[in-house]
Amino acid sequence: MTNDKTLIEQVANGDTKAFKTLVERHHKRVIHICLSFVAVPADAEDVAQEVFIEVFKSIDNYRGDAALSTWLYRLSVNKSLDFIRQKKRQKRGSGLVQVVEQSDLENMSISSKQLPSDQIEEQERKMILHQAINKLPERQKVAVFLSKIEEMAQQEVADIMKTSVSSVESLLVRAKRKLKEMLLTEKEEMY
Amino acid sequence: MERKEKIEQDINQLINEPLVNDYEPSFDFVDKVMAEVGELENTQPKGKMIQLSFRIAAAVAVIFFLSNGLILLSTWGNSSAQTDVNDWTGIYEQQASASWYEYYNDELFLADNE
Repeated sequence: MTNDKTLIEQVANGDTKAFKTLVERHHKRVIHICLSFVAVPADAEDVAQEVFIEVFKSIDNYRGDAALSTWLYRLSVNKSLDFIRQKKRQKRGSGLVQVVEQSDLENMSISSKQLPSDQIEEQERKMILHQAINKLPERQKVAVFLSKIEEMAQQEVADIMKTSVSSVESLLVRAKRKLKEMLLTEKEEMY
Repeated sequence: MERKEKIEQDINQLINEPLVNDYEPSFDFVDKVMAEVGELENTQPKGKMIQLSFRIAAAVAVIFFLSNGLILLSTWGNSSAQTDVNDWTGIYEQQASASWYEYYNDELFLADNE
């Protein structure tokens, strides 16, 4: 199997087949990252598409000092945050403030399972969590979303966020404390 | 108290479980990306030519301004040198005591000989 570095060189020399291999290799993880942030699959795929187009456009600027995956995932985070900001602005313009609205619940498929009644509750729980995470400060939000991606090591999260593992840990501790407070209030209101 | 513990447990579980686990991307995602890449490739050469022509135009403009600046500087230098020359000749033309033709004054010449 050709490694990412060789594929990048081939892409830089105009080989689009090499780029297809890169997309095939990384698209699932990139979409998962985008989906963590934007919550709606169609939006996540649009953002992921933008990520790959950006990579293709700026492949000449890739210096190779970080792994391609780190660069890709960082781009995915930035593009997703841009998308959320844009959506917030649009909703503010139309008088709605929440990023994920109740109306998004039907479209929101953080898991791809079909939705029998017992799974609707799980989706609802996830939506509540997603809304709570979205209220966190930006760096805490990024740390939480990335750490929730399966098989994403803390070192990888730290590389993507251009920080140290200990900073990520402290961001997560603070974020979880805040999330707990928010969710407790919400749950107590529900019961 | 028990209820609060249950809620806390529930929240801990919620916070620790993965948010995205088994989402499968659309089957045509890669094709869509590649189609867009194809479109980009078709438009990029034009873009590159435009970029190149802009760069050439910018370089020509810089050279033009620099050469104009040099010409202006050299003409200014010449004119100031010219005024210096005029000042010196002016001293002689004024027939002042320090003027050169005093040395060619016949009377002075004779007096010296005497």
